[in-house]
Amino acid sequence: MSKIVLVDDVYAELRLIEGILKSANHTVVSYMSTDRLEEKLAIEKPDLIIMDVVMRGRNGFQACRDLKNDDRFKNIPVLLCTSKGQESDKFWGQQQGANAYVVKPFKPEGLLGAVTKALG
Amino acid sequence: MPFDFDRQALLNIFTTEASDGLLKLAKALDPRDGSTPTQEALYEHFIIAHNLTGASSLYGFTGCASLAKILARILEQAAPVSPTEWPSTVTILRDIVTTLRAQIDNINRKSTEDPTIFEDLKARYPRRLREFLPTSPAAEPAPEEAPLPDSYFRPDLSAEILEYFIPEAQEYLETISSCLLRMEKDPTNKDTIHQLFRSVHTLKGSAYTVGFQAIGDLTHHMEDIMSAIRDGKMQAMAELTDLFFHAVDEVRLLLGRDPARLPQMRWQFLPLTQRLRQVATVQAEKAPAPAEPQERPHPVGAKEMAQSTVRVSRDRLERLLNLVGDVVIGRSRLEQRVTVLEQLACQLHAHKNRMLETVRTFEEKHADFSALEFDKSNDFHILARCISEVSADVSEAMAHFSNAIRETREEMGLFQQMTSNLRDEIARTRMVPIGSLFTRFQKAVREMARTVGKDVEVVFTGATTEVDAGVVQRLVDPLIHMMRNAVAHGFEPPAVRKATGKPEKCTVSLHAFTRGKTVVIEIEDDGVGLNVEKIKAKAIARGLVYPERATAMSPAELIKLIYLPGFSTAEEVGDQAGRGVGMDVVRRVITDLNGQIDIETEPGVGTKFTVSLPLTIDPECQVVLAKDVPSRLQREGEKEDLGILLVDDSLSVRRLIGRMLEAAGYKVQTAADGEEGLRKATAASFQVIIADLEMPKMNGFELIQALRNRPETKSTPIIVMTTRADGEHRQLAESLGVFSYLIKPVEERALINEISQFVSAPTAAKPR
Repeated sequence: MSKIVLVDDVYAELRLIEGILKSANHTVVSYMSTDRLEEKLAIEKPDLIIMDVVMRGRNGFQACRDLKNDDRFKNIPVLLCTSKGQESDKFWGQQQGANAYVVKPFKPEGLLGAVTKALG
Repeated sequence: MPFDFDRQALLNIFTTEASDGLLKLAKALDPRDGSTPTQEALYEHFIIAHNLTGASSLYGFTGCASLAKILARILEQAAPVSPTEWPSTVTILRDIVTTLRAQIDNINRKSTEDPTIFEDLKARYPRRLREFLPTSPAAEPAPEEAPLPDSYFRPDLSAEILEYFIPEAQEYLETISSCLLRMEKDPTNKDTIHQLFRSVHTLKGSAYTVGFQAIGDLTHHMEDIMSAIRDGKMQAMAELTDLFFHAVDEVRLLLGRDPARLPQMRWQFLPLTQRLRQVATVQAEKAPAPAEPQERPHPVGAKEMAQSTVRVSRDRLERLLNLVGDVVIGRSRLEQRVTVLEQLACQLHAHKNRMLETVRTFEEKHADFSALEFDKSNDFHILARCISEVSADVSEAMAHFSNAIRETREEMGLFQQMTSNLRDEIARTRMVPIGSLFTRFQKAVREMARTVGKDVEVVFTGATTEVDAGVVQRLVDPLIHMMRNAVAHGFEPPAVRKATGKPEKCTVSLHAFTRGKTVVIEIEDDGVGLNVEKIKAKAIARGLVYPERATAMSPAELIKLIYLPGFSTAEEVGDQAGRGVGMDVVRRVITDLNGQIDIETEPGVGTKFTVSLPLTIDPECQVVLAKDVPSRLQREGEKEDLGILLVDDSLSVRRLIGRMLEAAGYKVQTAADGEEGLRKATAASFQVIIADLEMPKMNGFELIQALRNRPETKSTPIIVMTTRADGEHRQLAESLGVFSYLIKPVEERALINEISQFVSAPTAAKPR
């Protein structure tokens, strides 16, 4: 249905989320870091980006801010996904321009619901 | 999991990745590596822990997730690394990582979490892992239930209700807490259990009444458990008190009604109630069928008692007690080190202030100067700036330093508490009922009665009074001596008794009982009472007191003459007194046990000796005396030789040094301050006096001066033993005529060497 880029530096999470998304007939392209993410996005042109927050190198917040400041990608919705569940983190994520925020652990339906909402 | 796509393959990925991360952490967190990690390294560790948190939670391993979360949080809070805290932190981190590795390994094999793997860790760090209460597998479906509404945790109650409910509830919480503390010490105390049950029950009732659902439910679970304990279906265990304390915390949190803390209330509540429910059911299953204990509750209790008792050899207890003694000494030595550190910090602080002051004056003085002649004074200026920066750095470092010392002090306080608890506990294991000695007393009295031809009845009370086993052993001879004495020359002839209206049969009684923290043993006879005139005459005849002094003495003082070494009333009974134990030795044994002995006597009515001893004996004291007393008992006939007087205000120094000296065969008396030292030193003659410098009431210098001014102590060798290592103190001491000056901590051999210059070789020196 939609094409989703997934960025998470934990392989086990990547595969699990990938599975959930694919079960809803989405096309998923996964990366394990935000390195040269813009180049990849320019090629893939996804409908949605799902990113982990805490990552080595450029973290999810930073990458999200960069994307939102980049005219090429600022219209692609970003869904941040993390186990940092505090209100302040959510606020911080929104400050970076994230369109949605999912807290681990989530149930598959929960993630898919958030994805649909972000895409809509 | 509804999305069950190739779960096994995903699980493999999860466990492999988790193991890799944990292996990295395990390698990095090596407690033997003294260095502190860099900020970057810490961040990398944090990411590993954080990733594990997320992945574990996504895969449904809640225990791993919450433990990894704690790991991540500790790592996050460790930045910036405090070098003082890191060594203890790394141990905890390491233990968490080890546990997580075991759990991941288990998941790899069984695809499911095993909560028992966490138990050990939780037991080891109950406080740090307080919020870590992994949900049991049985409780897993719970999250599927509809979440409890906020009003469950924070009901909308009127201010009026809250006004009376909250203080009342807090009062119950206090009672519950104090009961829990008592239960921890004495888990079988019925009163405690009843009180705890009642408090929980009442709190539950009022919570439900006012409509505070969460508190009501929580206390309801507690009540279930307490009623099971009360009915003997369950035993109060250590984990249970822990769990109850958590529950008390949660109730406090709920009573706080802080809306911002709702997530925390919610987060802690479910695991807590699940644990409580679990304990209630598990314990109920374990317990015997309820009908049975009701029929014969006693045998069941007795059987349980037998199972929870272990026999331990006296030797082992003795060794334990010795070790505790060493710990106590070690701790006080540590404390002395900390004191030295504090003094140094104080000095440093003063120096630092001086430096700051100098820098400030300099800056003030040269402020215009540097501004006007900037070029000329450039180097000057730079130096001034540089020094002022350095002094700011020094100030900051000093602040950290003082902090670290203060924290060490606090830890030392806790440590002291622990060592004294440990000591008390071990001392208590050695308690035996004094009744075990009664048959020996009975026998001794009967023998003596037969020898002197009197009809004597022995009365014992308080057989169950508990006394330290070591004390009992050492009390046997003195007590037997006193009872024999009473029989041998305490009673008038039968005819006299009859004439004075006393029963013909003589009575010697021994009452033992505890009064507060003291064990009291009274030995009483209904005989003639002590003959004060006879005592006076004998003391004079034996040259123990000058006749003119004796005439001036009060009856009470005269009676005390029987404690003098060399005063033996053996005139009439001679050999019958038997064991060569005089009253002087009796008293010495008792004072050595930190006890005291009093005499009450009334002519024609009888005599009563009252021995009071501390309930538990300090292990340290124990150790010294255990070696010492038998030899004293044998040395009864010897002329009194007081040996060494040790004056030091620190109990542990007195014990430690006293032990060293006694082990080397010297006799040692101690005094806790200058005043007491002076009193003791002038009352008797010592071969050498060892004195500390800093002491309360009268310090070492004053003591030395006073000793030097008195004819009887003018030439007694004095050794100063102090932490004061500077020349000034030493010179002052030497100018006062001190023979040698030793710096603490003193080496045993150096001390003995020093002593041997002044004191003739000890009689019973043990080769060491």
